Amino acid sequence: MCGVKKEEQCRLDITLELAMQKVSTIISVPAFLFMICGSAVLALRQKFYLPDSLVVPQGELLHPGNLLSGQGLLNLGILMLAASPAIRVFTALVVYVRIKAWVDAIIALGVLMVLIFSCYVPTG
Amino acid sequence: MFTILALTITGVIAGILGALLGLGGGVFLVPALTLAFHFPIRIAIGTSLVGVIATSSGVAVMAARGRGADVPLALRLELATTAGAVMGSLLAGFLNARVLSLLFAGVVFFTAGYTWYQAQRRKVAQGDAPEESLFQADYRVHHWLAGLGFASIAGALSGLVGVGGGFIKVPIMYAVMGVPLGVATATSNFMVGITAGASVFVYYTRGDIHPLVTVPTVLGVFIGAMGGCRVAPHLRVAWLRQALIMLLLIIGIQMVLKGLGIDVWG
Repeated sequence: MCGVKKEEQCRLDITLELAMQKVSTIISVPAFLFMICGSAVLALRQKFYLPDSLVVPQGELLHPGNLLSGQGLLNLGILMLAASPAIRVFTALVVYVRIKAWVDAIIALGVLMVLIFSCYVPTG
Repeated sequence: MFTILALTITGVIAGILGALLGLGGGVFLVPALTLAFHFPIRIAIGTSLVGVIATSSGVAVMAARGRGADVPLALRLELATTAGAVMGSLLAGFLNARVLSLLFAGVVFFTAGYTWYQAQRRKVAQGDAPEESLFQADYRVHHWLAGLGFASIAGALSGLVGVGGGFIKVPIMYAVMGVPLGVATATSNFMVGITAGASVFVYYTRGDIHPLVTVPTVLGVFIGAMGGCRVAPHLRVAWLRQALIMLLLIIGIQMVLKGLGIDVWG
């Protein structure tokens, strides 16, 4: 299946692919379920209007009142999805560390650091 | 209710195209949200960023074995892209916007021309050989230095003009680095997700991600991206390549007009 690639490299590619698929499914499915449930709650409460902002600060996301109102669920879903690229990079880092592929692990760590730092950089 | 449905349909279209061409879909979402739905540009960009991540996730969820992203390649190039993006954002303060647009258009036209040239060369080299495969597994990545250089240029352009850069990464991986087109699009989708992930929290914190706009759009994008993944293996490389070249030409023309001070979007 992997042609000219070494068997070890081929196995790593498959491991990474499966890990990315699993992690993406584990994050995306609940994220979209939260979004759908949040939309349903808002629709039931007839709060489905534009363009008022319904953004909930991260610190108040898990407050029961916010979660039950639908807004918290919508925002939780969006934030889960937004965090998924960083979680995928972290997964790649874990895979590389486990197989002791240090160069790849350092590269993954570098990308992860950039992602983490970008959270604190204002875009103006 | 009509707006919600229209947003979902727009998302589905952006998701399909984004997944097929490795662009994330932002290049379609921002104009659609600003022109058709009249949302403020910041809300359009914020929604588009979450949409790009949704495409990236949809592709990752649906990718069949041997059809996912080349993760080591993506991470190496992404390091160069993010470094370029930092340089780009620093340079942005010193360069004229029109000059930037024309520079950007030059890179886009060069990429389109080079992709077309490579396709012609492959045709001649292949002769009667079987048709080029979208997801061939036994490829070797070459011209690393050129690839990293172009990735940093794509990153710099991202920082300068606020685009994901997928439309540069795909042709470079395909035409310069020798990565099969299907793998290049999957890898680009992985990469644009990371690039979008780097700025999405800033937009969220600033209140530029409106949940009632974002949720229907990204639901559509996710469904569209998964559909695009299902369709991709049945497409011919030539069709995808032609679509990519066409898209590059459209973006290039838009940027030239912008560089000349002609605003087509009004």
